[in-house]
Amino acid sequence: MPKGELIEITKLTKIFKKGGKEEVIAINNANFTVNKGEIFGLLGPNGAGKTTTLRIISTILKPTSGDVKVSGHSVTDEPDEVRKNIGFLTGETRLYERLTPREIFFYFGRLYNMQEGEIEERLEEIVPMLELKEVLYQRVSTLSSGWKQRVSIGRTVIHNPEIFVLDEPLTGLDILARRSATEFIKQSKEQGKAVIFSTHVMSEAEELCDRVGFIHKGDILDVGDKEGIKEKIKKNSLEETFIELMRRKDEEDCIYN
Amino acid sequence: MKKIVFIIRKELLESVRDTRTFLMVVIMPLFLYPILFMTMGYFTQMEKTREEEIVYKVGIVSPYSDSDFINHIKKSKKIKIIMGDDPERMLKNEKVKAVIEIKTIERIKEYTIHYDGADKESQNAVKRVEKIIAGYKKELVKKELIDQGLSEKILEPFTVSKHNIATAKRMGGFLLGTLIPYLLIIISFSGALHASSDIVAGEKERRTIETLLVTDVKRGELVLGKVSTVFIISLLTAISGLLGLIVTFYSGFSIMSSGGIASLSIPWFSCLLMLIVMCPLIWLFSSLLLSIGVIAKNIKEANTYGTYLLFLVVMIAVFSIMRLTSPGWKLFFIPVLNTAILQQQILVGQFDILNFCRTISSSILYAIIIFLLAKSIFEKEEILYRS
Repeated sequence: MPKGELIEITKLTKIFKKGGKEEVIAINNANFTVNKGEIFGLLGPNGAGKTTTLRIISTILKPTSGDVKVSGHSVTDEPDEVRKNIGFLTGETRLYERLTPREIFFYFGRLYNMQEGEIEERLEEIVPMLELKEVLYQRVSTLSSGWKQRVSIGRTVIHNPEIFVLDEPLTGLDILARRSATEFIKQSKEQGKAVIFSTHVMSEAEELCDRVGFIHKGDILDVGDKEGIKEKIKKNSLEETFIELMRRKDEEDCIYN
Repeated sequence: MKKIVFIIRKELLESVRDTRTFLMVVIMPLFLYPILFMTMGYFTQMEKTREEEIVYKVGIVSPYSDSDFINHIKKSKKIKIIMGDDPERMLKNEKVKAVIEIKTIERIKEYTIHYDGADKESQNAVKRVEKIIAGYKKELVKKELIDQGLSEKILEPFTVSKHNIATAKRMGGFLLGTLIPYLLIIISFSGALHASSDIVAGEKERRTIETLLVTDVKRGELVLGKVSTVFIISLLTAISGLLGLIVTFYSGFSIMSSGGIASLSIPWFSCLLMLIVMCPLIWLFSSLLLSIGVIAKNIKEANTYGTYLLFLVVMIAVFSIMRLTSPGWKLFFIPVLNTAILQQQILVGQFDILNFCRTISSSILYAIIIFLLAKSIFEKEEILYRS
């Protein structure tokens, strides 16, 4: 793995079997990398294969073929090593409602092999950063969605991973929760972490990403620098770029079929 | 190993803070069965007293006056005689609970008792009438013997008596053995069902499972942690249930206490032994229900599948209530039934080490197999992410 590349996706394919012999190709021969200190956006409509890609990076799902290397460790051969290096957050993720944020941080910290003292030290950094002091001992069920999102972020960063895998992290958030999440993504980049996040909202990618990858029906349409890719396709926005790429792909499929 | 402890600790903390779990594990088993048995005991006793006090109207249909018989019946203050001519009409229209029809066929008197088999009071009235007729018959025979100069002792050339060598404690154990193992198995299964659906299907429903799967915990550790939690909760439910039943039977207010057995207490050692015997079965329940929790999409689905399984457990356990005569060694290899029978034997003090070994070893083997199945199901992404 070249220096700086924290995620390397090579010929990644994922096929789901749907009742009987019917197969659905969720990801088709994907190749791209995510570097240290960059925010990479995986962009595409619902059902494009974004969540499946991120779930494979996070070792929740196994690839059908190809491989993903996270900090040099294969998700297929060394899933335990991969998990140590990633922080995973999705817009859909919920927290344990009957626990307090502090209990959640300790639970996940312990599961990441951290000692009690280490967790305490880490909380001294996280709690002021996310301004969680006033809700630290309150049950999650009593918190607003904004607070919950901050707690989710705290849970994701508790073990100080070098890679963040964020699946639609801004979806459905109110203005305050969204702000916490975007600040967290920007801060992670400043700290030299690699961030890969999926979204179908192109404006989010415009605001946050350094590089993007467009995915449609399991195919990676193009990968590159945010500005460079727009220039290459000769479009002004990522949305227009994506629509143009999708049009070209559909045309290509028509010719071959 | 440490991670398993953290998982158990967190799951238990969540369960303790869940009102439904608290109700299911502590309140229901500790109070539901006691209340049920006490209420049944109270009503049975009340019914018995009421039945003894009730005066039944009994009709007599006779073509001639049988004054001897009528005078004999009149001695009973719990029967009011009404004369009539149609037994069926009397039973239907005159609130009569039984009718005695007297006929004479070839100089032999025949008493026919008409009654309504679908009416509890009518059945009770028949019992009372039968007793009176039996007494009257005995009196007539006695009189006839005396008239012929014979002794009435001729009627009873010898007497028969029974001597029960079982102590009151063993008799209590025998009676309790009919019900306690069956109830304990159902209670512990219910506790495991509630816990497992919340711990796995609940995680899927509340969308917390993904974050757990990306932590630095092996799938096997997760399954072991979760099965252990279900096991602990199920065992606590069984302990609560046992305590509730002990208190009920010891108080003497239960339906079984109304049977006249002086001591219905259970020695503490027997309680402990019964719980130890249950442990492999509870582990089996926990693993099985955890597998169902993994397969189910949500808590509702997990509870539905679990309820089907509960029917199966009830069907097997119900054989234990039949009190099989000298159960063969093969029965001690049937899960659920083996534990119930062994518990019955513990309660009457017939502890057989061979049966104990058969039950424990087979239950442990089944528990291990089902646990491995749960682990393998948990590792299958197509099942875990079934949609």
